[in-house]
Amino acid sequence: MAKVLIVDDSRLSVMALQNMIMRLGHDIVGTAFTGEEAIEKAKMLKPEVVTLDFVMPDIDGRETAKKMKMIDPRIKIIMITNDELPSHVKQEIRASAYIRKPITSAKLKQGFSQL
Amino acid sequence: MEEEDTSQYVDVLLEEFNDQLSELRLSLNRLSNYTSNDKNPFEAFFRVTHTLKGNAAFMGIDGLAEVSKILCEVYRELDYQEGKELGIDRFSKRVYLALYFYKTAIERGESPSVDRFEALLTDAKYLLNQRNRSLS
Repeated sequence: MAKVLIVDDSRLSVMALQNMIMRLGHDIVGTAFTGEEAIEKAKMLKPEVVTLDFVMPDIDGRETAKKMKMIDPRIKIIMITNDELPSHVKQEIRASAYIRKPITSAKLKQGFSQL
Repeated sequence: MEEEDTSQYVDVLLEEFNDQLSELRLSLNRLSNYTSNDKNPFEAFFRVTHTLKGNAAFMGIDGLAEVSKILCEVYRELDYQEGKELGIDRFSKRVYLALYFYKTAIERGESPSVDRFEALLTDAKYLLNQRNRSLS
């Protein structure tokens, strides 16, 4: 069971992710709707896993992921995207798993299995 | 693996849709005061259509997901100045209205149609073609 922080600017996505991740048996320690909020919550809540949306209103998923790794290099990132990311962006982010929207329980389970 | 019953999310989809439309409305209102030093006034249109694409696909509303995907591409590819020359201000007002009527139809419990977006999609493809032509 992992301690998970959910980061997405869509309330619908956050709610769906909460339900699915709880059903997978993980512990949700918090949610955030912007990159800045996510970084603050990562410092405070010390999650083991962060599900991170790529497009957000302030700083994007790429920058947020980099800052999270600076806070704690052991944080595992599951990057959630609408579109396929170019390989150079993936190399920069160093996420443990990538999930394309629409999110499904099966995709999420697969993502967690890659951690 | 058991799939999600998406009907439980209709209320939050509509709530979020209302907020997204307010954000687009604000963005349109700001156009008259826009100066070239301001950030792209259509950044909100990019984010909203991007989020709608994901939300609609998750909810199984494939027509809206497909429309949002094309609109999102327009706002991702065009910067404001080049978009302005191609008539993106008027285009965006029509996008706002089409999304507004679509959301209202869902609220009324109707099965909304994407027919209203047909002319917009033709224009979206025109905008993208013009942009590609200017790059080549």
